Amino acid sequence: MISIACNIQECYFEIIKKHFTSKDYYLEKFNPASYDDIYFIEINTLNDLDKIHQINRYPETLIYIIGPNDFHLLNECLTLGIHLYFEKDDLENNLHSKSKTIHQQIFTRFKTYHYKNKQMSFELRLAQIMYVESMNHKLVIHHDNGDFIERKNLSLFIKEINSSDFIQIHKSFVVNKNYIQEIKAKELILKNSTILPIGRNFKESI
Amino acid sequence: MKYKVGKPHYKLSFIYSFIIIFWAVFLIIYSPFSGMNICGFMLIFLIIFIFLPSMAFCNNIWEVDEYYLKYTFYNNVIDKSQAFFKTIFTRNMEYQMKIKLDKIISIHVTYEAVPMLFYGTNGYNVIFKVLMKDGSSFSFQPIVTRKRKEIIDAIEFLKSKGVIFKDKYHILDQLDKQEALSYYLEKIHGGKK
Repeated sequence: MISIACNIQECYFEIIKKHFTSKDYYLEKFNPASYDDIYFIEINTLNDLDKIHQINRYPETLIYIIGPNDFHLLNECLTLGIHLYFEKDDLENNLHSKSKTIHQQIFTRFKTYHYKNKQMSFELRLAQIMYVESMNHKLVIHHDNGDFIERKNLSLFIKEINSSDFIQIHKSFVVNKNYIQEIKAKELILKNSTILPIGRNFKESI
Repeated sequence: MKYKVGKPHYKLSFIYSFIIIFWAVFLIIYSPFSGMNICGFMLIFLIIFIFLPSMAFCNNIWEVDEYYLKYTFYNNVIDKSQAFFKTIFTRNMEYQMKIKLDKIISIHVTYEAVPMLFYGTNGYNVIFKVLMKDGSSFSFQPIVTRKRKEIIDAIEFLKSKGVIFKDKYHILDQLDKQEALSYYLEKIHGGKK
C-alpha cells in the first residue's frame, strides 16, 4: 500500500482523492510525525517552503507541489528536490496530463517483493530490504521491519526482484547498495554495523 | 514478557506415532506375508520423517514479545520436518515472520470466505492485515486454537504496546463470547451480499 499525505486545502484534497481511487493508495492528512510515500504540499509564498523541510522522508519519497503559476517559486521548489509541480488553478488537468509520469515514478520507486502461502502472505518494500542471506535452501530476508524466511534459492530471488539496487557479494549474500557503509578487502560493513563476507568470485563486480 | 498463541502438538503426535510404530514392529517381527517386514520398515520411516513432523506442526503458531510479533506456518512436509527436528534438538523455534512492533501503524481485522466443496457452503478465516510505516504489509490467520484466552491476551498485549487495531466488523468483540465465530462471520457475510 502506498500512503499519500496531503498538506493542502480541502478542495484540492477531493481532486487528488478522485485521482488515486485504487485500493493500493491510502490518502491521509499531513502528519509531521509520520513517514509517507508521497506528499502533496500546497505552496503559495516563499514562506510556505518551510513545509517541505517538515517532511519525514526516505530516499524514495516523492514530493509533489501544488502552487501558483510563478516561475520564481517553481525554481525555488526545484532546488529543494521536489519531483513534480502542479498549477493549482488547473490541478485536475495537470494531474491527468502527468498521470503517466506519476505512475512511472511510483512503479520505479515503490517496488515490492511478494510471498504467499496458505495462511500468511507478505509484501515487502524492496528499498527497505537490507540484505538477503541464503541458508540451507532457505532465504532469510533482513528487512527494516524485521526478518522473513522463505524456501527459495538466491538466484531465483535475484531474478524475481530484477533490481539494480541489489548486488551479490557472496554465493550466499545479496546486499542493497543503499545500506552499504564501507567496503573492505574481504568484508563489507552495512549501516547497521552488520559485517558480511565478500566472496572471491564477486570481488570484481563490487 | 511474551504471549504465545498455538504450539506444536508434540504429545499427541508422539502418541499416535507410537501406536502406528507398534503395528509396524508387529509386521516386521511376525511378517504374515513375504516382504511384509519391508512394509513395516517403510511405515516406520514414513512415520518418523513425515507423519510425526506434519502432525506436530499442522497449525500456525504466533508469539508477541516486547519487541517483535512472530508468526510461522510451515507450508510443506520438508519445512515441517526440518522445523520439527530443529526444534526438538535445539529447543529453539524458528519463525518465518519476525515483525518489529515499533514499525507497525495498525492491524486491520478482517475475514475471508473459503468455499468448502464437500459441504457446499463457505468456511470463514479471520485475517490480521498488518500495515507498516514504510508501506509494507503482512497478512496472517491469527486464530489457531479453541483456547480464545491465548488470543485475547496476545491482542491485549499488542494494544498495550501501542499497536492500533482497526476492527470494522467487530470480530475481536466476538472472541470472548460463547457464540461460534463462524456463525457470526456468516451473518456479516450474508449481510454484505
